[in-house]
Amino acid sequence: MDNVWVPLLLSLKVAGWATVINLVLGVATGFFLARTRFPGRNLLDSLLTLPMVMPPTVLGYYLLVLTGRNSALGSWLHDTFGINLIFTWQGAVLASSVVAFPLVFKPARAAFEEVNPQLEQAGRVLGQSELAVFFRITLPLAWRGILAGLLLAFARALGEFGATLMIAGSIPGQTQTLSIAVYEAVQAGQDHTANLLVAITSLVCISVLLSATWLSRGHDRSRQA
Amino acid sequence: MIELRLDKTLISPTRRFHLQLAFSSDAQRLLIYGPSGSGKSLLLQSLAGLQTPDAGLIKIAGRTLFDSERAINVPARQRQLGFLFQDYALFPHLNARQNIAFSLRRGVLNPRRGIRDQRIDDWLQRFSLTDVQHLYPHQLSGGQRQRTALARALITEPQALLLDEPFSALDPALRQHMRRQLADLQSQLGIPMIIISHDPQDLAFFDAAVLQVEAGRLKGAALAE
Repeated sequence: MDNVWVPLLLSLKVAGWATVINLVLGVATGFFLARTRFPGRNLLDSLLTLPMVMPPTVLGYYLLVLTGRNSALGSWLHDTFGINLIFTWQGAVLASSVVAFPLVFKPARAAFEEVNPQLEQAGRVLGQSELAVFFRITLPLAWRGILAGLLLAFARALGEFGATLMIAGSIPGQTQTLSIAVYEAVQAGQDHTANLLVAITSLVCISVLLSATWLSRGHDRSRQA
Repeated sequence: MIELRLDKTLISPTRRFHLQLAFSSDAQRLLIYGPSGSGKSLLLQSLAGLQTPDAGLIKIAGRTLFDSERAINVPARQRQLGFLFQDYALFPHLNARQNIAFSLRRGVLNPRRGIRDQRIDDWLQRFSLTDVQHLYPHQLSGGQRQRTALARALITEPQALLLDEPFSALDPALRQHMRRQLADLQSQLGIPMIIISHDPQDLAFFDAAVLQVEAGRLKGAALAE
């Protein structure tokens, strides 16, 4: 059974970290794009959406070149923090984070744009700091939209294959995630393992998707009220 | 009570608007009267610190809130003014009690549903909101919403109360009743009030100093004390 549980746990770990990273970076980017006006704002939005439309292998190749030991960024990470992204689970986290990023920042931007700025002004007049206004008014009102995006990002990160394979490879127990394990099992003719892995993956993905739909429906209803 | 010199140019793709006026008044009730688009909302927002004038001076109740020559610009949260927004700007994710209690809590967390404080109970009782205190804004009637917003502003014990078209969101039958209630409240609390309106009936009802604004300028110098 180890050949099922090990990749499942690894996938959950990688997808979990990717979601946490996107919770911070995606929400911050969405807020920034929703609240600032500058030339090239929509161009930046398009550029940040690229990971969604680019083939994952191409994206993985870019990441490999960008963070490899011979690159400036890669050698800096290695020399300063001792972090090596190539062929490690941290590399898988990087790949999943980048691929899932647009799924978080886009709905976050839309959710922040829907918050009535007058409510934030009311908070300021009532003596609250900008930080308090964000956490007590803006974020709670945008939260449902953000959460739906995070769930989609989690599902997408869980299913990540191409970019992860490029940067982290397929080392059993270390970087062999669920979707890569499915591929390896089929290649090796281990039908039983492949069936199990596919069933588990499907179950997780369906429940995440259902939660996301349920959340975004609730979002619509609260807006009508 | 109020001393004001104000200069502000707003430029949008569709129009260029110039607000320029100066006046001072010791009246306890000041009615700023003018058609929509005359700049009176901009004026009120400048008083509250929600808009920054290009140049000028704002003094309310003996405190200098803005002085371009001395580079003073007190942020909205420190102006100690009550602001009643035109459509009340109640926080939709908080119930009536939490809305009223909003300013009593500092930091990044909202007041809990059952927050205890004698001041909240006093205001709920004064405005006959005790029975509906656990309802959310969309469940309240127009009059209840306005009273909740008033209580939320007054619980901060502001130096002055600014009201942006306070009766326009109410149906006509209720308006006269609320005018009477507001006038009584003002006499009881002795708090200076600055009301913005384009409704001739407000002009007829309130025994107030009147300031007529048109196209960003004072119309006549007439200030009936």
